[in-house]
Amino acid sequence: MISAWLAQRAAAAPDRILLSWPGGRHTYRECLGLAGDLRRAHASRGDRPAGIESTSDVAFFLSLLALDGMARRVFLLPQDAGAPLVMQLAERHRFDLFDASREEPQPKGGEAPAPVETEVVLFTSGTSGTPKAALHGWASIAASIHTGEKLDGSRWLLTYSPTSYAGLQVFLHALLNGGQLSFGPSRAGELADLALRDQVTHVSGTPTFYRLLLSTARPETLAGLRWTQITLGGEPVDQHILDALRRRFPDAQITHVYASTEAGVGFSVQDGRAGFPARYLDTLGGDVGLRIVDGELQLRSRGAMRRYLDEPDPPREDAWLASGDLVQVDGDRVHFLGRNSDRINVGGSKLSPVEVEEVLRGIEGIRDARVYGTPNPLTGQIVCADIVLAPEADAVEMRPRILAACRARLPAFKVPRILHFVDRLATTAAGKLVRG
Amino acid sequence: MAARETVISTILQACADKGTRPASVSDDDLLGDDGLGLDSLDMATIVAELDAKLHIDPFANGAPSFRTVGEFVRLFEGGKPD
Repeated sequence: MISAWLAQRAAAAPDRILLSWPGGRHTYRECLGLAGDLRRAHASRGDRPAGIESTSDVAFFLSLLALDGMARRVFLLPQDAGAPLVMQLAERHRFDLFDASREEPQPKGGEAPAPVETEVVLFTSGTSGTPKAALHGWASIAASIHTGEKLDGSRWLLTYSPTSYAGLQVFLHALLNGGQLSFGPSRAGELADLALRDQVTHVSGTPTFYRLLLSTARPETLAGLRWTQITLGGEPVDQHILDALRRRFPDAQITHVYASTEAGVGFSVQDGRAGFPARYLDTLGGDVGLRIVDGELQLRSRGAMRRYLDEPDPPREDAWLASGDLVQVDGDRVHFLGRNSDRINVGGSKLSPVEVEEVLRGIEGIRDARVYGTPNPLTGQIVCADIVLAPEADAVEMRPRILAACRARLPAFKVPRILHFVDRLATTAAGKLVRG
Repeated sequence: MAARETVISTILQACADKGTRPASVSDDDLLGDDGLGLDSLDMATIVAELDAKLHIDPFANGAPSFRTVGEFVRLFEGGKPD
């Protein structure tokens, strides 16, 4: 499916750039040619399921295009998966590794095999245990891709791992709109420099990415960015980051997209407020829907996976998928409280790190914060916070101010008790804060 | 710093964090109500701080009881509360 889309785009506008990275670029015509070369070089592998072993992001995208229509199934291996995990996944799901840089012996003559329908397997970012394999088709992944005149030739910045669901969404937005995808650096500041060089118009990333961007990108780079669309997802979106982006990019459309690897895209909100309208719970209707069960958001959508690969049957007859995200209805708005699994239990009272992080980020002098529980002999767990201060802020002065502000806004058991001042917060390959 | 001073300074810090600032504390002071006014969350905080500073967890082998500053200090000095 994606190889056909590439062929169409390459016929319509061959000299447009599809892939752009700090060290080079490929036009649509070049991508079509390189994917064809790869397919011929690896023709002897037949249609066996393939796990893409990407030595670089460019090689990954070209492999993905080459394997479409060739392999029965492609597995997008998490970039941070080590060799032992890759071997374990290959054995369990019976795929061989596809390495674009390795030349395979070419068969003599013969006709090109008939194209097959390629299924796509994405792995969930499991915090513990083996990542779960979600089986998709290109049609379900592309179900929520926007196209149209306004998006023709749009230039996208990839802040996500290319092998993630969110990363694929960005890639497909570029491809289906005859647009350009800029990618490569992992640091927010360097991505900003690349976005400036490539005159990026559309950006999609986690709130953590945007907070890093606003605090670490060079001021002259930030001032030069002309983004028209800013999309946030992957983590709870708080009011502070929405406001900060609005101030920095007054003319951009700012969208919060709620999606997951399993359920696909649930909804998007563009009104500049954190959370989503409570009426979405009733009005999405049809085969798309949202509901709250025991404080947890459940959803069903057209973009949902077919099933988990390890489980032969579809997960539920009625297609509702538990999201693992806790929500709370406040009047006409539904707010996100974070992951069910991240909840902290202090002496039997439960809290979500996200609500505490929001209070911390609202305190002047704090750039970012991560809240978590640590075991405690008296209360089971105790709330701790890693805090990144603005350069001008002083930890000794800030400590009492932070505690006072938290006590004023939070019940006692939610107040972070142990404060660590750190230079930066760790993020995952998917651009999210490391939890747990 | 001896364990005793570390425990006392951590208690005083917890009081300061609450906004109460006793001039000094004595061994006979009660930790909770009718004393320094530290609640279970404050004590949990103090215990976590002391675990980080002294690497002593007096709760590892059971749940010792303590009501006064002196009894609490002795938990970290290796002794047992009276």
